[in-house]
Amino acid sequence: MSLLTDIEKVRAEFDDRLQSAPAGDDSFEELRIAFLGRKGKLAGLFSQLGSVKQTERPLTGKQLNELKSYVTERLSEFQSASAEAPEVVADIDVTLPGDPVPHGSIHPVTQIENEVKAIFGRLGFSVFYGPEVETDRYNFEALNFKPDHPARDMQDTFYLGQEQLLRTHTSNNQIHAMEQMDPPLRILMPGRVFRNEAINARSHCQFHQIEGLVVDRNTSMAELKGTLTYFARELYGPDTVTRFRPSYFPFTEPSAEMDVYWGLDTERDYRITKGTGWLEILGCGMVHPNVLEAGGVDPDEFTGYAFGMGIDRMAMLKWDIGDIRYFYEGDLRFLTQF
Amino acid sequence: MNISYHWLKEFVEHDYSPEELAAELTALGLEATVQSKDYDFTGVVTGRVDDVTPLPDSDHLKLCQVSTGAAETVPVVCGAPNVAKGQIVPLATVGAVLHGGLKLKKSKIRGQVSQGMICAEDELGLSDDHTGIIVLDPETPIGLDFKEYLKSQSDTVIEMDLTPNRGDAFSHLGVARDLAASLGKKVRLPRVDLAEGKTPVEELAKVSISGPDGCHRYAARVIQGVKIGPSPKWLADRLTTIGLRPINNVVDASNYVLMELGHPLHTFDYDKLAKGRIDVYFARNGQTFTTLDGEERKLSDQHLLIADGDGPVALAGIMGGLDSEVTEQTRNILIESAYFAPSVIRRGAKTLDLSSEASKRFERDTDIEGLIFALDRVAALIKELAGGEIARGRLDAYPVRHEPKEITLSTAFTNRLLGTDLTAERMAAHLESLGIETAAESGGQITCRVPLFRPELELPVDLIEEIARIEGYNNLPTIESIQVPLGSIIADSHEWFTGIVSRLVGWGYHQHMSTTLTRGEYCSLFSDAQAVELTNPLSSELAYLRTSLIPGLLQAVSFNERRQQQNVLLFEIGAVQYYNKEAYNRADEHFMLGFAASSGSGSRDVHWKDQADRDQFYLKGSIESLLAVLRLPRVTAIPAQVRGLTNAIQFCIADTVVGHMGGIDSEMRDSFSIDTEVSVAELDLDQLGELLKGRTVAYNEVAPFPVVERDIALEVPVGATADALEKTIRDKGGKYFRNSRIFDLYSGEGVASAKKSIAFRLYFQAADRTLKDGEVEQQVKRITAALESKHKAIWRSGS
Repeated sequence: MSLLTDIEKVRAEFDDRLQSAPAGDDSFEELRIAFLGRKGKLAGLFSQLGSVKQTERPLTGKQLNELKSYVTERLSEFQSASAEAPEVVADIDVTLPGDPVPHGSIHPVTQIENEVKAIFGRLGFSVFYGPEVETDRYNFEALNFKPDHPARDMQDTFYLGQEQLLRTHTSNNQIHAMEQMDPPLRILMPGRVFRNEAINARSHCQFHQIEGLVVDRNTSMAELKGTLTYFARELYGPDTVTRFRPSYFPFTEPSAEMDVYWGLDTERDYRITKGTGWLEILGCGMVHPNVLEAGGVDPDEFTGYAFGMGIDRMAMLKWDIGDIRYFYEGDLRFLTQF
Repeated sequence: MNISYHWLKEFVEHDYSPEELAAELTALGLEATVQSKDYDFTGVVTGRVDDVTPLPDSDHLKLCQVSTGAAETVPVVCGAPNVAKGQIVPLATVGAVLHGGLKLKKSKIRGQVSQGMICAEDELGLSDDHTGIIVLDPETPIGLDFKEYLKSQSDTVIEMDLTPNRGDAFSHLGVARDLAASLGKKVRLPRVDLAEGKTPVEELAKVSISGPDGCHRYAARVIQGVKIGPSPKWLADRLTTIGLRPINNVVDASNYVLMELGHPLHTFDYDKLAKGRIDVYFARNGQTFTTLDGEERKLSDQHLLIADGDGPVALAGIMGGLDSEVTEQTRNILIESAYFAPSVIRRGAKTLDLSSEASKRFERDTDIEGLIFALDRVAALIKELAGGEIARGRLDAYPVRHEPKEITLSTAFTNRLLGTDLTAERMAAHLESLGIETAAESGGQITCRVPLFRPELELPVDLIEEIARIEGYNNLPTIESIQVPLGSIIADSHEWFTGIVSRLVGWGYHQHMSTTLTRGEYCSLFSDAQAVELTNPLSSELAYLRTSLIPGLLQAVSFNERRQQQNVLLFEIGAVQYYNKEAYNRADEHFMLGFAASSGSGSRDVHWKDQADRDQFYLKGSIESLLAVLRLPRVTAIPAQVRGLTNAIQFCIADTVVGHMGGIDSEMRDSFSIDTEVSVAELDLDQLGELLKGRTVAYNEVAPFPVVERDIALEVPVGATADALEKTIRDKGGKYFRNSRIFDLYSGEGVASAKKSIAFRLYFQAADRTLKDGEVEQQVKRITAALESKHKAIWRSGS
């Protein structure tokens, strides 16, 4: 049997097997190893080339090389054909969740603070900051709290010495602002305040306030009412009904509280409004002439109005949060909801 | 303070319901709430006992026939000792629900059908009394719903939450004065019938004031031959209604007048006052005195004492003494009605931590003229209740005379401040209604004479508030437009914090707020600064001001871990305080940005995709990105020793250290009860804010020529830092070098021990042409040569 015949037999066998091979990489690999592998059929044929007569060797060699090219090409075609064939239906489940892109949360107190700043920002209020650690002068005396006056009992104070204390309200900023800037002033003063009160669900030794101060030549109670009514409607909706009633703060005169009508639709409404339907939102008033003077402003030339509100309490109302301590624990089960 | 709806009506007539009254008082600035009163029983009606027959088999049970107005009477078996024919009683019928929820059923007792129950007070929740059934006024109609009947009969309590400036309103009279002003009516004062005896009071007692700074006036009366006993029901009921406990007729009378007129009164047992003498003086430092609660009080020269001929008998304006108290045996009394300086009483009460109904009123200031009426009123009342004879005249030492203040009010200023257009007449009428005498002057001025019962009214603005109160705050105009002076607009120095918050939130961080107050030991964990200490802390855990945000963040990580919350990513923006004795407030405040990132097993959210485990480089990357988006100048991270941190680095911009970060060692984690790895960081926002002020973005024209990339892999000793290698690359990069980036880091198999493999991708670009391969190759060779010589690096491969 001549090697040339064997070459033809191998070619035929290759054609047969290629014909019947199922598409796919496995078939390709199997055929490649069987024919082109190191121990494959073509290698077997090449190894016999040495024993072919000298004269027949060029032809046989040529045939053998042709076969190798033939097999290589056919296999290559087979492989690319296999690749094109849809092997399995791709499983794209579009209902799988998207890749988890992290998202955190803005603290509820910051959110309310931002909201309040934005509303007053539309009315041309700028933002001003003052220190948390204060002296009696800025926190009390310059705000017309007289020594040994019961008004001082309105705010239990943490002391850091004889004169130093933790501010009990953001009103200390009123004096800093008047000292640092010339009127007209139109500022909003957010910050953390401290009261020496036991910590429980309803009260904490720290919370946040936003104070507002306007000092100008012709501000009036009418402007205070207009400004704060606008604020209430922006915050609680355009149909919000407000009322003003007399109150007392040593640093304003006349002093007022602003209430909004909350309604009496639910048990909670009864509870938080003490059955009146009205909810106290902020304290306000016309800046006391003694305070203007303490801030270096002439009370004959300028008048002013001021207001202050508690951010934590507003957040508790907005989201019906029953415990003020949640704000300062960092509990992710709480924070992630905002 | 509580006031009674009925009692108030004695002073001023009005048609308000309790709720309307509370609303009206609130609108006047006297915050009032109706104390809700609810009964939990139902199905109880009034009935008349028509017949009572004892049950034969029982020693106490009786069969009663109770008529409720229906055709048939209701048979009721009753065991109460006081049940009798003809009584009007509350009858719970079958189906009624009693106090506590018990539902009444038809029953059979000793063979007798009982279809109801005659109720005792405890069964309806009116009191704890079960001594007998409730017997009503014989005039009471039968068949009334008992709950409605009770409500119509009983008084309503109105709770007053008075502001500290309204000492004058601390009584029924005071509240009535405001109410009368708003109604345009006059207050009716109680009639006082003294019918004094013959003995002049001067023969019985003598009053002097040695401490006129503390006591401006001291008036007294003496009543002889009183008979101490229980108060009559009407008086006891009034006191009980507003929450006071009746004691005896003399004590109750002074409490009654206190609540009625607002002036504190004190009654002494006259026979226990040595020599019938009263003097008022300041205590000596260290002097002690036993108050009537039995406590021995240590006094100082701030405390004012009432003394008899032998020594102190009362702590003036605060509390009486044990030895001179009125007792069952008291026959003769001396009644004190005095004016004590508000600040003296306040200081005295505060230093003793002792507050009484009297001290609360004295420190809010009292009516130095009205005290005489109060004295006469109480004397007459005691005589009415306890008998005796009122000695003729009163003792009245008045060394510091108060004169009514005169305040000149400008009508123009009033209208300017309120934004109103009120006439001078209207203003004057409002003031007059409050008892302020007015006289119109030329030039739109009103001269106002302020009665002594309103000592807090001192300035024109105080009178403006009075005008506004009576006008009604809600009737004042509300303007519709505002003017914003451009000169008032200033920059918000914290506005850029908003950008930080939104970015960090976008990267998965949650905003935390920890408490400013913290433990002393936490203050020195992460900061070298001296902490500020509170002198009156709530507890040792809240005794210092934080010097770092990190402890608060770690507490939050721990809080979450203990509640199965892993992978905590938190940040906080807040102030820390460092003690500084040079500062006016002894503290330097810095706004900081703190971070805590915890990790641990199970940190992957999804397992079918590759995600890097979170370690401190996650936090470092967040901070680098944050600083990058702020467009701050180049930030370098330098390994450093930072208090409390492991593997710490400092972030520097130019020569300024702006913050640091690092890990927490296991010992410290244990102290915070944290199990997983945590990295923390803190940036100084004040410093960053300063750097941002000079911030400019250096824009480079976008070059249209391609960037050439070359990768180099180096084998370097383990100690070589990425930072140092990058610096060498940058220094030797030549003019076309743009940037480099570490893209692989490996040690282990295939790398010599004590060595690591680190791979950089280098970027080259020229602004004006395409770089030639040769140029880049040459530059890379220079770089690697420098790396080899400087860092003992071996160039493993390149491409």
